[in-house]
Amino acid sequence: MSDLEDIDPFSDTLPFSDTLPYTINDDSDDSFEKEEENQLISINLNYQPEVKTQFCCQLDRDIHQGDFTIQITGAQKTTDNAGSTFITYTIKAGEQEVKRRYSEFESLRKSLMRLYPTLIVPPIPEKQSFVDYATMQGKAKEDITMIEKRKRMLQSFLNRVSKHPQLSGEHIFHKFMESNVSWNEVLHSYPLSSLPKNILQTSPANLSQSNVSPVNSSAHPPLLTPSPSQQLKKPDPKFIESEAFTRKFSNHISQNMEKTNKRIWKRLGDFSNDYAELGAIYNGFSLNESGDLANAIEKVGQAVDSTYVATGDLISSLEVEFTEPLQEYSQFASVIRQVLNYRHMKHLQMELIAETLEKQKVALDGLEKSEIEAKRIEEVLSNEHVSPASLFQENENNDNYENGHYEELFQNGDASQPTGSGHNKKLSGSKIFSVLSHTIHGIMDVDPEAARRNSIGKTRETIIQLEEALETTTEDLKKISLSIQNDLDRFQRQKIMNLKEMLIAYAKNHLKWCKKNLSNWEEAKAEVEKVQT
Amino acid sequence: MNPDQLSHSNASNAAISTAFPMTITVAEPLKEFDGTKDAFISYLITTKTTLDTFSSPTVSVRRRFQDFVWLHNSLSRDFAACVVPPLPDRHRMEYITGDRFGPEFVEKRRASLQRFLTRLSRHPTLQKSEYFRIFLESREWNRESSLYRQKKPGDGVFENLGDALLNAFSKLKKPDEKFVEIKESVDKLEENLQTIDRLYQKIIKRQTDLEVDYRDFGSSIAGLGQLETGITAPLEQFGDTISKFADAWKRMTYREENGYLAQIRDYLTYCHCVKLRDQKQVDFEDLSEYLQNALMERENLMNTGKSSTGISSFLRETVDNIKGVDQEQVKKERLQKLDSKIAELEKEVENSNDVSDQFSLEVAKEYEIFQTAKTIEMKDCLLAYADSHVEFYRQGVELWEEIIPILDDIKFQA
Repeated sequence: MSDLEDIDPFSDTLPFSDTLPYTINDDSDDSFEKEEENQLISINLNYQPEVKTQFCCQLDRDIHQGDFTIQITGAQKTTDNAGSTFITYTIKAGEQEVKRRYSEFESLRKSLMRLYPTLIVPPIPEKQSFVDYATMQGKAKEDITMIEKRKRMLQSFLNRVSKHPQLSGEHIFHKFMESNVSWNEVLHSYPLSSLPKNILQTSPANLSQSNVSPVNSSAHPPLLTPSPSQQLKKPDPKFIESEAFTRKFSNHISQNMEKTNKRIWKRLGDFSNDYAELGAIYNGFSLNESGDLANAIEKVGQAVDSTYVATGDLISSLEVEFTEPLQEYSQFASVIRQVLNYRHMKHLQMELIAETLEKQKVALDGLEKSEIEAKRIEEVLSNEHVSPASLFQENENNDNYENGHYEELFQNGDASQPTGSGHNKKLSGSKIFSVLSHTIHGIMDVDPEAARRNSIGKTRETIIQLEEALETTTEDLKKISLSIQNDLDRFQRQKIMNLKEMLIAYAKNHLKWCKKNLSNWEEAKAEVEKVQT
Repeated sequence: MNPDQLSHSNASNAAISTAFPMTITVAEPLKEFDGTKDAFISYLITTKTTLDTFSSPTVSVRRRFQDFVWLHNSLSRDFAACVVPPLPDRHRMEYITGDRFGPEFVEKRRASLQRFLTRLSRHPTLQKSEYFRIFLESREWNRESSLYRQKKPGDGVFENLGDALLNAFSKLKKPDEKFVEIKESVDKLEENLQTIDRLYQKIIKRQTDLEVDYRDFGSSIAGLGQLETGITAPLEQFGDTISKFADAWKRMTYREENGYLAQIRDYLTYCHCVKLRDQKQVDFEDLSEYLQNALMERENLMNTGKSSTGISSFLRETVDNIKGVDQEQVKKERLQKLDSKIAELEKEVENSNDVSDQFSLEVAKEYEIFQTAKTIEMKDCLLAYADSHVEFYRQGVELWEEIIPILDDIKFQA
C-alpha cells in the first residue's frame, strides 16, 4: 500500500524532457501525396514558437509562416456514384484546393481528438438535428442561411486548428486540405489505422516517447479500464476546480448568454420589420400632403427606412461577429469537459492499476509463504524428529490465502499430514507425504506443488507487468496533466482575446448603427424645421 | 348669424389666416380642496397677446376642467359655422379607476388643454370672441360666466329655420365639389394617422420588450465577468453600458408614446370634428323649392278654397263639411298660417342664397384655418418625434464610444 502514497503525479520536480526526438521523413516537398505505409512521423510535443524550423510539407511551412488563413470559398450540392446528395465545401489553403463534406470534417476532428486526447481540439458546427431537418424542408432561404453559417463555422474550425501550437503541425490535418488526397485513404493508413478503439488502453499518442507507435506493439498488453462511476481516492484539487469551473462556464454561456443574445437578435428582427412597414406609411402619407409638410413627412419616412436597413445590417453583423463565436465557446466548454474527463479516467486507471498491483503482491506474498512452509514441512518430515504437535502448531500459523484453491488444498494436505504421521511414527514422513500427495493428486488430478509454483510464476509475471503499467501510467498521468494544464492556459489566453474581440465587435456594430441613424434623423429633423408656418 | 359674427367674418374674409398673435400656456396643475369630496385640479392659464380687447398684454388666471367645458359649449353654440377644437375626453378610464389626480393623467390632460387653447388662439374669429376673453382674463369668473350661461340660444343660421326644417334639409343631396374634396382630404389624413397610431402601438410594445432584452443581456455579460476573474471590471462596465442603452430605449419609447402618439390621437379627434361639421351643410336649393310649394298652396287656397295638396286635405275638408265647420273661418285661419310661414320662408329664401354662400365661405375658411393649424401642429409633432430619435441615437453613440477603449485595454493577465 505504501507505493500508492508515494505517487504524486503533479510534483513540480518532474524530470520532464522538453525536447523529444523529432523525426521527419521529408522525401520531397511537393510529392507528399504519395502515402508510404512506413513513414515514421512523430508528433511534435511541446510548442516552442521560435523553434520550428522543420516542416513536414509545404502546407506545414505555409501555416507556420506569417499571416496564413484558410478559406472555405464555396459550398455545392454533389451527388456521388451511389446516388446520394450532399454538400461539399471547397477549402482553399495556400495553393491547395480540395472539396470535403461535413462527415469528413467530423472524422478529421475525431481523429485529432484520438491522436491528441490531452489537447482542446476546436469544435465544429453541430450535426443538424432531425427536428431541424424536418422543419426546414422546402425553406430554401433558410437552407442558404444555414449553409452560409456552416461555411463560416467550418472555416473557423480549420483556422483555429492551424493556429494551435501542436495541432497545426499534425500531418493528417495538412492532408485534409491537400488537393487530390483521398480522405478515406488517410483514415485507413498510419497513424490513424493503428489507434486502438479505446484510447484509455494505451498511452496518449501525442505524449509517447518512442518513435514507433507504442500503441501498436502487441507485446504490450492493454491497460485496465476503470469504470467511469468510480470515485478517485486522491483527486487532484486543481483539476477538480477546473472541472467545476468548466461546468459553471458552460452553463452560463448556454443558459444565460446564448439565450439572452438570441432574444435580442430576434426582437431586433421584428423591430426592423415594423420599421419597414412604418416607412411605407410615412411615404404614403407624404403623397397626400403638399409643400413643405409633404417634404418633411417624406424625409421622416426616409429616416425610418434607413433605420430598417441599418438594423438589418446590425443583425447580420452581430450574428457573424458575436453569436457564432459565442456558440463556438459553448461547444469549447464541452470539449474541455471531455479532455478533463480523459485525465480523470487516466487517474482512475492509475489508481486501479496500483490497487491491483497491491493485491497481486499480497497474493504473491501468500503464495511464497506457502511455498516456504511446504518446504519446511518436507524437511521436518524427512528428519522424523518432530512431534506432530509442533507440526500442528506451525500449521495453524499458516494464513489463509485468497488466490487459488491450490493453497487451500495444500493446507488440507498439510493438515492431514501430521495426523497421519502422528499415528504412523515409524513410517518414513516423506514416504507418507508422497503417498498422501499422490493420493490427493489421484483425486484432484493436479499436483499442488506444481500448481502453486505455476501460480507463483504467473503472479510474478503479472506483478512485473503491472509494475510496468503503473510506471507508464504514472508517467503518462504526469505528462497528461502537464499537457492539459498547458493547453488550458493557452486556451484561457485565447478565450480572453476572443471575448475581447467579440465584445468590441458588439460595441462597434452598435456604434455604427447609432451613428448611421443619428445622421439620418438629424437630416429629417432639419427638413421638418424648414416647414413654413 | 348675429351681426357680431357677421361683421367679424366679413373682416376676416380678407385675411383668412391672420389671427392676432396670441400665446397661451397651461401650467402648474394644482389640487384644490384636497381631502374633500369636492377636490379638483386647477390650471394656471397665462395669455400674452396684442389683441386690444384684452385688458393687458399679459394676464394669468386659474381655471378648472369644468370651465373649459363652458368655453367649448358656448363657442360651439354661438359659432356654429366654426370648427371649435375638441376637448379631451371627459369620461376617461382614470375617473373610474380613481386615478384622476395621478401625475401622468394630469400631465396628459394639461398638454391636451393647452393644445385646445392654442388652437382657439389661432382661430381668427374665435380668438376674438367674448367667451374667450372672459375665460382667459376674467377676475369675476362666476358672475361673468353665468351671465352668458343664461343667454338665449343665439340667432345662428340654423336656429332661425326651426328644427323641423333643419332636419328636413340636413343632408348633402347635391354635395358641392369643393366640400367633397375637403372631406376626402380629411378622410385620407385621418386614415394615415390611424394607421400610424395602430402600427405604433405594436412598435411601442416591441421597443419595451427590446429594452428588457437588452437589460437581461447586460446582466449576463456582467455575470460572465464574475466567472472570468481576470476581466471582471471591463465586463461589468460593458454590462453597465448596456443597461444605460436600455434606459435610452425606454426614454425614446416614453416620448413616442406620451408625446407623438398622444398628439396624433388628439389630432384625430380634431379631424373628426371638422368632418362632422361638414355634414351639417344644408341644401338650400331644396329650401327654395319648398318655399315655392308653400306659395303655390297659398294661391290654391285663396282661389279655390281648397288645398291642392292631396287626399289628406280633401279628407279634412270633407270632415270639416260634415262637422259643419265654418269653411270661411277655417280658410281664413289657414291662410293666416300660410302667410306667416311664407313670410318667414320668403325672408329666408332671400337670405338663403346669401346664407348659403356665406355658409360655403365659412366652411372653406374653417378648412383653411384647419389646414394652417394642421401644418403648424404636424410640424411640432414631427419635430418632437424626430428629436426623440435624435436624442436616442446621440446617447447611443456616446455610450458605445465610451466603452470601446475600455474593452481595447483588456490584456491577458497570466
